[in-house]
Amino acid sequence: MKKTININLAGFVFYIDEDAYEALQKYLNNIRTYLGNTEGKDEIIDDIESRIAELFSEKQKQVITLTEVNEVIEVMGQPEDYMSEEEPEEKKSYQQSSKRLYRDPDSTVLGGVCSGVGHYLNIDAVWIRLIFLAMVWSGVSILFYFILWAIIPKAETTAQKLEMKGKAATFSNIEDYVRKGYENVKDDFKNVDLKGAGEKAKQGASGFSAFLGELISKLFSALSKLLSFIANILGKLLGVIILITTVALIIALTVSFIIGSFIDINIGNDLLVLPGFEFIGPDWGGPFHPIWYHISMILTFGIPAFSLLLFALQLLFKNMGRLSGSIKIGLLAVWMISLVSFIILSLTQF
Amino acid sequence: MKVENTKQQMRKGILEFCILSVLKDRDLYASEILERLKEARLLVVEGTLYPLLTRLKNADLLQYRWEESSSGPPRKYYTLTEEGTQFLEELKSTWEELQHAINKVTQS
Repeated sequence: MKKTININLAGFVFYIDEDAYEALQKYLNNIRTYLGNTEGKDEIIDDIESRIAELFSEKQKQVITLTEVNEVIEVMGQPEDYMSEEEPEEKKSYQQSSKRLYRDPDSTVLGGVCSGVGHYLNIDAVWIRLIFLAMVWSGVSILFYFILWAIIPKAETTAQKLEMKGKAATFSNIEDYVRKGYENVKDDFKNVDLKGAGEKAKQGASGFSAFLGELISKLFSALSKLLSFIANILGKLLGVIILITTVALIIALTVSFIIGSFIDINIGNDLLVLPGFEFIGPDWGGPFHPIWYHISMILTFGIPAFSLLLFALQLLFKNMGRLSGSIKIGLLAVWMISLVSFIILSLTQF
Repeated sequence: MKVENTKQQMRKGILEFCILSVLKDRDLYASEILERLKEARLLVVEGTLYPLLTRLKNADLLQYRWEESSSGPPRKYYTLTEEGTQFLEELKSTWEELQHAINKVTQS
């Protein structure tokens, strides 16, 4: 015994099996997708529907089953068989992908980092450049700039340039992204056909174990998608938090260095000299000169801060490059040396 | 390069010409057009016809009217427009030229 559905196809009324109905629905949806936004799309679909109705009625059956549907689909053909060469022009609308961080090779001062960041944040590059210049004072932003230069890829193809300037990372886009992900996951759970499994279970014990297996595997794949979706969101969130923290940390470090330098000069203590001007001083050189103290301090705090920043950027932007192993080891070595010298210098100075 | 693809391309190129030709003497509805084309083995799958009909109609070469039928819902009967007739004449002369040229090339 099977359940049938009553459908009206272009004015004809048919009784159709449930599975046959689904197959027909899928076929019509395929055509619809294939036509995209071709002119007269609805009309074409209507015509095709009425032809299918005619073919069904020619068969003179009480109930349309999957066999009839498959026969009709065979006669009508798959959409890709008859539409691919009808419209040579590109039918699919260019799908605008989300925005990506790239370096802009078309408006560069040095490596296009600032203009790329500007495109991404929808801010004029001038402001980014000013921020970088303001931070050059402490020496931090130079390092920062070169790290960004190394890991942000250059926009070379037109598609990449479009992506670079594409949709802004606004809240509505983020909402869009979250909603789409959620709907994907929801669909997967819907596809876990509980009802079907139940009915099959009634039909026999052997079918039941097979169906239980299928059900479990479907559930697991849906669950794993859900988990990766959540992990993705959490990753982005974590990335944002780390990014904000690190940027705040770097700014705080920069400011404290600048203020520290001024205070030291004002009190007449030449332990910390205004960075950038030590070179003019008469006593440049010598292992215990304040500039070494300054540099070791910057590196001791700066390198971990930049590692964090790098991590945050890699969490947020999938297209970021990675530092090579030798650079990582080098940075670690530099950090350890500067940490040791910072401690020694601090001990000898105070 | 597959021979099937090339054959299909050849058929597709002349399909519009053939649709207009079968409508020259008599107004037909889609299934009758299909019948004529399938008789001549010009069509492989029926779905091909519908996008073509809509395109020809949108190009003002064809128009249709609804007509009641005894065996079901009303049918769309297609007919050539003035422009369509002219278009067909041009295609026909081109076809004759081509036929002549092809015969000459393939038989020598």
